[in-house]
Amino acid sequence: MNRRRQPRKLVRRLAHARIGILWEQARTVARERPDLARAWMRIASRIAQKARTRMPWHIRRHLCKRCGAVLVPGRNCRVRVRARRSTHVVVTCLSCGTIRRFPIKR
Amino acid sequence: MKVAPHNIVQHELIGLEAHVAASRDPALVCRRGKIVDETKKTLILETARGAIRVTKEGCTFDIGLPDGTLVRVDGHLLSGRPESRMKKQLRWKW
Repeated sequence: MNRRRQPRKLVRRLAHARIGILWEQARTVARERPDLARAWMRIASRIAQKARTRMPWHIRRHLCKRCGAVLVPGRNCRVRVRARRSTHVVVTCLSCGTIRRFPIKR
Repeated sequence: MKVAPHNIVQHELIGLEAHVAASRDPALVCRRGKIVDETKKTLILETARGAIRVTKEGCTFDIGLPDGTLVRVDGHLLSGRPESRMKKQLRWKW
């Protein structure tokens, strides 16, 4: 009863640090070993879930939301700026074909 | 929050250098490599001669931190999935 837990704030700070470490490493190996990078980012997303935080936005937009691959433009994803409809960026994951659209804010 | 000897049990192990200092399996002693993956009960080390899977339990590891310090950890303390280790608390029994 009344087992002390770590404060949530601390757990979140730790989670952010760990996600940062994993992301830095995944980014460097993403070209040579995409599978390894993907496995590491999977761990990172599980850490985020466990700490109940969001994956930072600058990392999330480099991951395919369907297969979890680390997207490297020109390597395993296609990036196009489309002016039809409201201007947006289309990112296509070339390993699974998922399309993701990012609206451009003015 | 950086990796430090006091929080290594809760922190990220992937990317760190590890050296098996003692083990119940004599074939694993003195193996050294970079930690590339982790499961609940094992670590996967990338050594000069390919990847090996080492059980956490029954081994003692020397782990090199990015700032250069070496920590000797009983592998039993490292058991747990990478995400569940984050909330793990050590009970200090003196």
